[in-house]
Amino acid sequence: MAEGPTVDALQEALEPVVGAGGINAAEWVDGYVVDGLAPTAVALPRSLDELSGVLRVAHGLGAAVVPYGGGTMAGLGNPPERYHLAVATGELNRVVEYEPADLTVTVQAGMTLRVLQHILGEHGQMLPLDPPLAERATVGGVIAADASGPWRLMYGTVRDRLLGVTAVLTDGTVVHGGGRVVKNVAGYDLPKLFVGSLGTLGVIAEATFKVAPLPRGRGTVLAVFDSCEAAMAVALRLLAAGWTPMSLDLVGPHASRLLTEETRSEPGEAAYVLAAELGGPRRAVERMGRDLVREATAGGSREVTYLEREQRNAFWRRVRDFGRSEADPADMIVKLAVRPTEVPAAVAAAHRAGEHAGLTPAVIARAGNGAVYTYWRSPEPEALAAAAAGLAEAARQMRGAAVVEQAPRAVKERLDVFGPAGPDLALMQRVKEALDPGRLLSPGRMVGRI
Amino acid sequence: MLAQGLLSQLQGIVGAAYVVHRPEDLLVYEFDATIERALPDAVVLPADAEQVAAVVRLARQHGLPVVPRGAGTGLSGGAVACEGGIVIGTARMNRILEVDAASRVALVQPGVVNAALSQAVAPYGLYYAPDPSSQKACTLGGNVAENAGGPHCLAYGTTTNHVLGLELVLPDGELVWLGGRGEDRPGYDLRGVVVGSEGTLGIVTAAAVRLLPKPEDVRTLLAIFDHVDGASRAVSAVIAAGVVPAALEMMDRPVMDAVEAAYRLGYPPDAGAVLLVEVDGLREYVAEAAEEVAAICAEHGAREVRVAESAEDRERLWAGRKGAISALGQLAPNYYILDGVVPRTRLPEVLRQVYEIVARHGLRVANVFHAGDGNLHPCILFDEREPDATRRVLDAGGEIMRLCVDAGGSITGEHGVGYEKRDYLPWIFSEEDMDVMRRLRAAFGAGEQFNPGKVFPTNKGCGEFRAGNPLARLPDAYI
Repeated sequence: MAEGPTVDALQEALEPVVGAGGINAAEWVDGYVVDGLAPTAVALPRSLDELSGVLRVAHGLGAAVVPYGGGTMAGLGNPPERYHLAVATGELNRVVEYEPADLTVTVQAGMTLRVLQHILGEHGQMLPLDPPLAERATVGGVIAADASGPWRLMYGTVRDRLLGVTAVLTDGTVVHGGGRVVKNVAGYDLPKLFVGSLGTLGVIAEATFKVAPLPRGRGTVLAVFDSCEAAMAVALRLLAAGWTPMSLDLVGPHASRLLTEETRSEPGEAAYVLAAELGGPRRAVERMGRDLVREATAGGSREVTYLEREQRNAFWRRVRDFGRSEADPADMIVKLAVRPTEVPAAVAAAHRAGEHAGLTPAVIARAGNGAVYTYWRSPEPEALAAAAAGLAEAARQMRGAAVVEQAPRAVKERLDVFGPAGPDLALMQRVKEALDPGRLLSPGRMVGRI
Repeated sequence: MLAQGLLSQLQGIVGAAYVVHRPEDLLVYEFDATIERALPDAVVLPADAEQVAAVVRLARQHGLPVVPRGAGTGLSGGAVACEGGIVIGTARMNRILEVDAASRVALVQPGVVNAALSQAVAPYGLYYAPDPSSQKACTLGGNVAENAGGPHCLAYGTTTNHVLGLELVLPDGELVWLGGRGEDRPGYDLRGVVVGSEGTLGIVTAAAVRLLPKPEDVRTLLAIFDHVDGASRAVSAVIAAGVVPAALEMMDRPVMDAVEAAYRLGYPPDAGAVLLVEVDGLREYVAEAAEEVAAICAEHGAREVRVAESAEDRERLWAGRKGAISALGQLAPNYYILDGVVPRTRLPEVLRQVYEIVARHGLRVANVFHAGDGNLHPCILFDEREPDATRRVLDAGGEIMRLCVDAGGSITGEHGVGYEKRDYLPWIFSEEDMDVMRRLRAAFGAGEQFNPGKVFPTNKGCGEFRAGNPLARLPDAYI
């Protein structure tokens, strides 16, 4: 890049901090591309001290920093304005403290979710967050991107599980927010501030979570409907009755064709599938299964299928990773955030937006949360941008939000991926200014290109 | 005392009937549920967000502190006007603006009473989960400011987990929405920062809150133990076993004595402690979880586990818990309630030390608390007329806070820092941590004007201890 520190300056200044093996300006760089932009160098700190040192050096050199975990959500955010140094968290991958009987765990930010789940699983526990690509997604990345998955229905999102956070600010200052106990209202709730902040306020170094016991039994039921409205009516009826599934997803026709091809279910052409993951004591799981069969049948479902263990693991994995995996790739992912009652309207709007652009979206919605994910495939940036514009307009009419979570750079350059900024933008800008006045942390990536 | 010009301006904004300014009228606004008190210069009761904004702007012009106030039930002094100024009471902003039953969201004004919301949405089969013990009086705006908790937060989380969006008047009088009526609003989670900010960042004028469907089944158990130790070990064991009850509360002997004296609910006179455990959800889940809890309690020495058979039984078991704090008056003229949190595995040892500390200061303590969350509420009993009693209580309280911090916990789980614990904040946060918080406060435009003297350490005092007859300080007051 024309501006910013040179390769030599970065290497010379960072070597004393992370050692010769912890800084690279050659072959690593290609692994840390964000929106087509490669950093000048990559730093790989091995401790909190080194991470702090890296930030201090970058600050001194005026280097723009993008924190980088597993890169699974790197598509989220506006393209970085400047990008000199990738701060990779991969070596910060230890458990700091885990007392299973407290149901809390503190880990470093670079640990992958899969490794964390494995450690917790040995004690019959889990972190009840199931974002995409858990084998690569890191704890820090999941927090910074506020990544979530189907389980959010029962367990909430990152903000509901995160108890404490340690972060490094732009000048290398290490700060802590929250704590390690499950209830704590001392001081401002800094952990919340870092959730979804996309690396624009600080680099997350450690996090404490409230974990959950693994459900004792599990089951997955798919109910096939002819229309989105019929499927959603059943979903809302069950939820209103105090039904407590782990997840309840609505899978649109295009996605359901792909996702059910290996199962016994045959949804056919225009099928909307309501997919429920049920967890708890065996008798509770069986009971919820029966409820779903009864309500779905009464609500016009033409087929209800129970998935076997192998099938259900494969099914949910594909649902979580949809649009981001090799099995089900997408060129663009746009999430519509609406109220649960507005899901059918959002799905219809997605199809209308597609018609205008000559495209057909695949749709998977978190039925109880109103998060409607639309997945698009097209080599044409114009067509994708047209679809995104249609979705943004639909979101505006529903007073919801449309967020482009992944798209080619050519599409991103035509829009703000978070949609038009709201009246709270000025306050957000002041918060950014308060913590990163030099705009060195992931500059331009946040709402309103903060 | 307000300048006459300012008084008439305030009256012009909210109406003359809604400005409280005579000293004798202000007396009821000089305290909350804590020990210290301070007299505001005026209390205004606006009708809507625009009036709030106008009052805030006016206060700013005059350089007067602004102190938001709900029902005044707070337990950390959040609503006490430490440095005088204008108290903005939300009592008139008490309407439920909208209930979207299908999406399970309600839009409320800040003065809505916590329990009133659950009552209002009951016909839809819904309720609002956070349930502070003061829920019949406390307001949702106050709950948001303090990030209030309650017994059922064990399973369902505190206020912050139930707030989707907030309308806020910023310190410069600007009105802004943070978050929304649905989930997943893009941008920084500033709603999450405002929740629990204790009125130091702005004043909430509306909130979109999440409602939950009423559970299909509820079972309440009372496990009776000979000793506190067995009860606290049972608590750790229940959590460790992976059962997450809806609520898991403990009451020790002194609390039972108070409750028995006040309500006669039939607690055994020789028991050392009881656990009140509630499990809710689907019938099948409730049956299994209740059995497991009962078995774990028995394993840890519960001499008896009573199960509420009817709704009336359940109400009665809860009546003791919910009325426990007000029953403490049976034991001593005054009590001072603490709000420490410890990791749940540390409960048995920490509780033992709490008794030791209080005894060392020549005082008695009653414990009634959210055991499942590790959230202790030692209530130190005293008589403020005894010389030096208040000082000894505060000393013992400080030591207990220190104990919680040393055990890896926090100085407050749900009551807030307020003025009361502001000097303890550095025990858990570094200068750098607090600096970030102060910078956030500055970003909200708050400076020191919004609820001054709260949350952050300061060497200024806050009002004075509540002692003696307040009227003695107002010789000219006519009541």
